Amino acid sequence: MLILAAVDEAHAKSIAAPQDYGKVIIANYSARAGLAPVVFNHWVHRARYTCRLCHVDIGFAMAKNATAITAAANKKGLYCGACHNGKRTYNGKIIFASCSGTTARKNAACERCHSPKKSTVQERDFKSFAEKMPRNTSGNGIDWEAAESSGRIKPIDVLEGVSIQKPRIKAQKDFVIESKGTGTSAVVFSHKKHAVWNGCEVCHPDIFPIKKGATKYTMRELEKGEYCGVCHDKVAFPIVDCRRCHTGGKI
Amino acid sequence: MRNTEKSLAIALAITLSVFFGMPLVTDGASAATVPATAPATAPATAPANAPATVPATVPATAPATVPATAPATADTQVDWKTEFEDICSKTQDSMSFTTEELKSLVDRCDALKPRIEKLDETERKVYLRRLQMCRDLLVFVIESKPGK
Repeated sequence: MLILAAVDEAHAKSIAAPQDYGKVIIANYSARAGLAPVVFNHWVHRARYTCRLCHVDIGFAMAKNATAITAAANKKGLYCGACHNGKRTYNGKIIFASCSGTTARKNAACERCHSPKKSTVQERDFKSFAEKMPRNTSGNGIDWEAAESSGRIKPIDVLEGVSIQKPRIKAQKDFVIESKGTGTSAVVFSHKKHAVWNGCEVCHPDIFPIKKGATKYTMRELEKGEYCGVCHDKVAFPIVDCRRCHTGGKI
Repeated sequence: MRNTEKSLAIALAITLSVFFGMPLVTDGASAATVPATAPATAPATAPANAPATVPATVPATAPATVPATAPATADTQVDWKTEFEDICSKTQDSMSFTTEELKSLVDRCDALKPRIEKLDETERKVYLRRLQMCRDLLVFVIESKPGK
């Protein structure tokens, strides 16, 4: 029952339009500057960069609005400005500069991020992008894991001048998380799949400060945004997609 | 005889100059050029365990005319970042280190923290968080070792 209740709540949360799944509204200082909040689309960025790059190397917190990004920081080449500096390129195209305006506010450049209105361009872009990707039934309808493993996307993990050059990660072994007393199949956790996107520091110890098997966690906690729920249900596929984790078939 | 002594003295002076870097002429002008070319502050600020590439890169970026007493902001900047990158580049391999090696890395994180705290506000915020994530992971790995 507890699992069902959690899944119901999670389902209610995860019925956002596919292009809006993973969308974050950043509203620390925008109003003070007379601007709309920033609408950040995870799908645009995760198609190009790993989670680790932004959440470790660039330093974005995992919780919404916890980073307190300022225009001054962006201008110095930190946070959004690490890439959005008008110099760095992606696929040979210059990435537009963030917070580059000096005097004129509320101009078109600002509205690329401080975008109060529903963007039809964004929707169209998402649709054309998603059509080329492996499908999934939940979240934003894209199987990101398959997209990465099949080479449809090649998320960049190193940003010159920002990232530390490191040897390739040696992923730890997969392990089984038993679903004790629930009758559901055990979860086979793949370190390898997660390490591709996250490295080590995204998950340990902030999200999982635990020794394997030392702490029990429930679907209710996940639904509240703890443990797996820090990413799953927000950006990674939602927890209503039970069989993605409970692979044994018993739900 | 006098010429022989003179020749010996000149030969000795040349030998000393070649092997020990002693100036041939010890007047004020030539003596002053010696410290100007030596990176006087670098050895004092460089971490003991910094990689061997640090000394090679520092003189290349420092202008030759910088006086020995000038504030070493550029060098300091290089030093903390080199140390930061050297420590935190090891997180990928952290599981393969011994507890002693991991503790040494944690100690280096703690030693580096005050230097990052001196940076300006935004840079400080970003790099303190990055250092903390790196340190926390190293501590996590120590605590995850069998027998802990």
